[in-house]
Amino acid sequence: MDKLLLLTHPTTGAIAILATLWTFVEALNASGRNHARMWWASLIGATMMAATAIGGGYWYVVYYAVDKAAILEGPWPIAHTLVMEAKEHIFFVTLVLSLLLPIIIRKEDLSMNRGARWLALTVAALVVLSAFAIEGAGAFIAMAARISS
Amino acid sequence: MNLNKTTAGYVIAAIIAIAANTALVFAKELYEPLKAGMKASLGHHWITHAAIIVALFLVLGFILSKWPLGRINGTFLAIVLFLVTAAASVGIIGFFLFE
Repeated sequence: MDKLLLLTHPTTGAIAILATLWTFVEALNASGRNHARMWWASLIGATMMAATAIGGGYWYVVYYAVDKAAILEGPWPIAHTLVMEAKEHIFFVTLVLSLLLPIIIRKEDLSMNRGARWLALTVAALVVLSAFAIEGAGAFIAMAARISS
Repeated sequence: MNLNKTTAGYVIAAIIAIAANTALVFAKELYEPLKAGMKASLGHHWITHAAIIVALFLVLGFILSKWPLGRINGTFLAIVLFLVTAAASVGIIGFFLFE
């Protein structure tokens, strides 16, 4: 069960990244014709990011203590003291931005409002970049746990 | 062209929630009774932290979207959101780097 959860949350995170990247591309080419598609893409991104929070949070709260102890005893303690500590808190930034994106797209006409389009592009880019960094941090922590156990 | 008041309200709420997230990290890591209280509230400090930040964003966004915020340009809010997000993230990394 713990291994399944460990695999599930980066997968939903990757789907959230792809959906947000899709939203970014739709926003670059915003028109009356792609508004519904862009909204659905952003909604998929937000839903997958919320699923990542629930799955990753459950794993972190219930199972991470064993890996944490091993990492702190192993050759890469920084994987917990810096990488995990930063990851588990910066994730909230990504989550809030993911929840914000569908609201912007639902309420604004990005094809007519240049400022709103810049706002949507900025939020989508921040979600993609921060989520990628979090995926990388997760891989680093997994490697540290592996070489420590 | 200015933003819809719902959009402006939720973007300002996101900016506040992102800044509050970093402030809460500093506060709970530097003041142990706060972290212990957050753990006691919902069973783990991370769960309480998540609940506070998401609730702050949603509740503040709902309130600010009803507030007469005036004319706010999207590009201006995009710049503020980017700067706050960058500063908040660097702040968290720097804190755990030097703690």
